[in-house]
Amino acid sequence: MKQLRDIYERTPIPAELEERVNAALAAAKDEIKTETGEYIAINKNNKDFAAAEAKQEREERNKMGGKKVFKRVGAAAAAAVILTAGFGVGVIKNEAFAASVSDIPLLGALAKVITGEEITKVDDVVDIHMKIPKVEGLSDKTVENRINNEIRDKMTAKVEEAERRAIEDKKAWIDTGGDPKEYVPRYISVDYSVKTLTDDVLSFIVSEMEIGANAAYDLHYYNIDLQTNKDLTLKDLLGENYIAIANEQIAAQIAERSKEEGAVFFDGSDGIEGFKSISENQGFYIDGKGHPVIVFNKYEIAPGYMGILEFEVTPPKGL
Amino acid sequence: MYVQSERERFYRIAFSYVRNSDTALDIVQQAIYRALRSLDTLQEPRYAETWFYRILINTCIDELRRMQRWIPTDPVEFASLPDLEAGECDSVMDLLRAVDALEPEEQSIIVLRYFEDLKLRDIAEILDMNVSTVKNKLYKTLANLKVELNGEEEKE
Repeated sequence: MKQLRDIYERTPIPAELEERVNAALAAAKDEIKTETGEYIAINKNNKDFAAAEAKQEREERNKMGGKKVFKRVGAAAAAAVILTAGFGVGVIKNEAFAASVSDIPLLGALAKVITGEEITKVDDVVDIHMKIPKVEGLSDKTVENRINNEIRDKMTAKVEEAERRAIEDKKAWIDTGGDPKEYVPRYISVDYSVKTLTDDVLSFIVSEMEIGANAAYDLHYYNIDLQTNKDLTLKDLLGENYIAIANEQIAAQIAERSKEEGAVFFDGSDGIEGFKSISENQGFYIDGKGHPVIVFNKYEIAPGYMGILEFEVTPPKGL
Repeated sequence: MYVQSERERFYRIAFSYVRNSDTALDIVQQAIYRALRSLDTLQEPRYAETWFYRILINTCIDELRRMQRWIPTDPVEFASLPDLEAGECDSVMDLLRAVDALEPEEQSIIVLRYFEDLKLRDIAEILDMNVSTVKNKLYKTLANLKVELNGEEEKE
C-alpha cells in the first residue's frame, strides 16, 4: 500500500491545472450564491470575458478539426469549458473579487484554528480548564504539525508544572496549620484567540492563566505567513529598522496615553525602569490591517492594574 | 484560496479514478464549478471540505460510468504513470490494477483513507455512509485485495 501511495503522490500534475481551476472560478463567479440565497455581486470584467470566450471558441473549433474528440461532459462542464483558457491569475488577483469572496467557503482562507483538545480537571487542589488550539489547513503539513505539537507540549508542560506547584502549595498550607477545607484550588486555564485570518496571514495568541495566591498570565504568539508557511517577524512587517520604528511609535503612544486620568506607566522613578525598547523576542500579533500590534504583559512597563498593554505600529510608507 | 492551494490533491484524486489527464482536468474544473454554483446548498460552512470532496468524487464516478458506456474496452491508461523503479513494477502494478478494478465506492474508501489520510468519520460524511459501514467495507476491500494478490502470486 505504501508503494501504491508513492505512485499516487508522484502523479504528474499537468501545467494546465492552475488555469483550469481559474477557468472554473471565472465561469462560476457570477453565479455564486451564499447560504442565504443572495447572489454576491462580483464585478466582471467584460473585456476579459469577451476575449476569453472568443479564444475559447477558436480553440474548440481547432479541437474539433484536430484529433482530439470533444467529450460530452454534461451541461455544467460545457458551460465551464467555455471559459477554459486565457484567464490566467488575473481573476484571482483582482482585489474587488478577492475582497468580496474571502469569506466564501472554498474561496476563502484554507487555514483555520480550532480547539484541538479540551481538558478539564477539578479537584481539591486544582481547577484546570484547558482549550488547546490546533491549526488546520496549512499547505505545509510539517510546519502545521510542528506548530501543533509545540503548542500542545508547551501548554501541557505548563499546566503540569502549575499542578505540581499547587500540590506543594497545598501541602505547605496544611503543614503550616491551614485548614485543608479552606484551601482554594489553584485556577489554571489555557485559551486562545484568533486575531487575524486572511489568505495571507494567520495570527493568534495562546494564553495561559494561573490564579493562586497571585495571578499570572503567559501569552504565546503565533504569526504565520500562509503563503510561505514561515513565521512572520517584526522585521518582515516593519523593515530593517523595525526596532527604532517600533520604539519611536510606542514611546509616542505611551506619552499620549499617560495624559489620561489614572494612567500610569513606569518611568524610572521609584527605581522601576519603564519602557526603553522592544525585546529580542517581543510578543506581537497582527491586526486586520496587517500591522503588528506589540503586546506587553502585566507589570512589564506599567503597574499591574493597567492590564495587558497593546500598541499598534504602522509600517513605514513604501513597505 | 482553498481551491487553488489544494488543486493538486483534487487532480490526484480525479486521476486515480479515470487514469487520463485530460479527463481528470475536466473533472476538477467541473467539480469546482458545480460546487461554486451550489454553494447555497452547503448548510454548514465548516463542512465545506467534505462537502466539496463529495462533489468531486461524484463527478469522478459519473465520468467513470460515462467512460464505461462510451468505451467498452479497458479505459485504464498506464502510460501516464510515473516511472517506476526497477523491482517495484510487477507486484505493485498488480495491486494497482486490483485497486482500479474495485467498485467506485470501494476505490474511494481506499484512496481517501490511504492516499489522502482522511479520517473514517470524514470518509463516511463524504460518501454518505455510516462510519461502521465504511469500516466494514474497508476491511472487506483490504481482505479482497490481499486474496486477489495472493491468488495471482500463487499462479506465478
